[in-house]
Amino acid sequence: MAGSGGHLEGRVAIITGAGQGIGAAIALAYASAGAKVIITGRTQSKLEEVTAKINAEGGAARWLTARAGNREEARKTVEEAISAWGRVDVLVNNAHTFTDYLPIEDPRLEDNIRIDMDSAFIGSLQLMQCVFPHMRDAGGGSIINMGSSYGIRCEPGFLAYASAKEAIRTLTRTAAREWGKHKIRVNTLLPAAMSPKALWYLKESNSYEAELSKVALGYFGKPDDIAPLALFLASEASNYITGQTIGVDGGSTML
Amino acid sequence: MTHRTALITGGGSGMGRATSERLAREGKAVGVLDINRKSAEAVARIISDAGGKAIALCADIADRRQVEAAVHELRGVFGAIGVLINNAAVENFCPFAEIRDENWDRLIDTNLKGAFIVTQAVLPDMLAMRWGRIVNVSALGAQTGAPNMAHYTASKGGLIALTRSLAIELGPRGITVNSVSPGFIDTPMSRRAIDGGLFPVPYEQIIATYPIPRLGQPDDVACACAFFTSEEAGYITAQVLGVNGGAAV
Repeated sequence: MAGSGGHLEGRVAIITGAGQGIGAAIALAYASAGAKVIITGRTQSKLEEVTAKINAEGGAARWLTARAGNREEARKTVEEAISAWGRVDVLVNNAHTFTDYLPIEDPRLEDNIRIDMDSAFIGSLQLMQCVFPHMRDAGGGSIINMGSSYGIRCEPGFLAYASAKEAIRTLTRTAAREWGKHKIRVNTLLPAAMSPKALWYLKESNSYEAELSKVALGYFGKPDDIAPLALFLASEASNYITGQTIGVDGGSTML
Repeated sequence: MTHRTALITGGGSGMGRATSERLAREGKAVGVLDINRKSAEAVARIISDAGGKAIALCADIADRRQVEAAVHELRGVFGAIGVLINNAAVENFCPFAEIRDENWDRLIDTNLKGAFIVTQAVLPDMLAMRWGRIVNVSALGAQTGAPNMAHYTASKGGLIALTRSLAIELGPRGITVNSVSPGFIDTPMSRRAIDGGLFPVPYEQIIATYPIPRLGQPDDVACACAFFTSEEAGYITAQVLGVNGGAAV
């Protein structure tokens, strides 16, 4: 890519939730920028498909089935990167098992919050803890966590999802301050890309037009729109950027 | 690669120079605009000598007539302008109670009104192409506050508000508008402040508190400007990206 110095030759990246959508797009972008990638997700067939695509294009990819929030699987994921390629330079915490719309007064909300927190917040924390010694000893690294405009906007019915995403932003900023001295940069990306499920929800709730009106650019993004920012944040071009929250959402979030 | 013409204000030194050089290295034809003709010419020459495309433009961006002449010249040489970096700024370190009207006006006229004038001057090109990338260089102090810089931070805060409003207004026309917010960057402007003893403590003590404990380099800012103006960054708009070593998170 020409625009942002996003070259990752010799780097090793872990991308979670990479069997489809945004995670897959980031894995493909990293691989074509020269990184070796470890991709994780829950569905083996999807991971095999993404891995095959990367390898067919001359890239290097390996896959593991892993559920975000499972410490043993987080440990194995990092171990796979180290045993295969000896290092981890970039971690993209993209996986998130999210729950459906639920108003605050619904007693099931507590369980939903645990599901979102376990997968997205605890899952991100676990992988960060597992990659930390490797990044520290190698002299640095870049961690990209996924927040959401929903965390900023506090949309009714999405407390479980949004609070996990805001907890992730706090994790990002705290880690940026604790780990800056080890040259480990940590940033939060706020992506907005239409998944089939999101599209279904917007149509089901008759909110498609209302949501679209909040997007300054006037269209919903695709996973390929998200990948360039993830590439920039992983690359040396962003060496002085840490602790930041950056939206790639067509201008629907303004922080 | 698509041909793109870029205009960088304050391109003759510091972050503007680094951004001019980086955009040129990435294949853009650049107009290096500065109030100081010699520094604009020097940067344009460095770019040309390295095989890039650049011309020097001299204008006070607070003067609409001068800006329009410079934009006309750039358009005539390299074609329609698709990329604009509103970087030019002047500073004046002064306790708030002692800020004089003329210094308030000078900072607002250059830092904020200047961006308004230059953006209006290049906008017809972007609207005609239905493609544009605008980056407004704001400042960490606009986000966090800074002593003895009330007029400077107010002007930079104005640029952040301008960024958001333009992003909404121009988004449907294919134009993205973002802001890069530099922290403590090693520029001639910062060096004047350091050398003039304008910080309450030695600057080394300030940067030691940053998660990334060093002065930022002009190229750190240039890289962020280059990213926002790349073809690939088309879904990013209205963002304020701190390039500050984690000084504010």
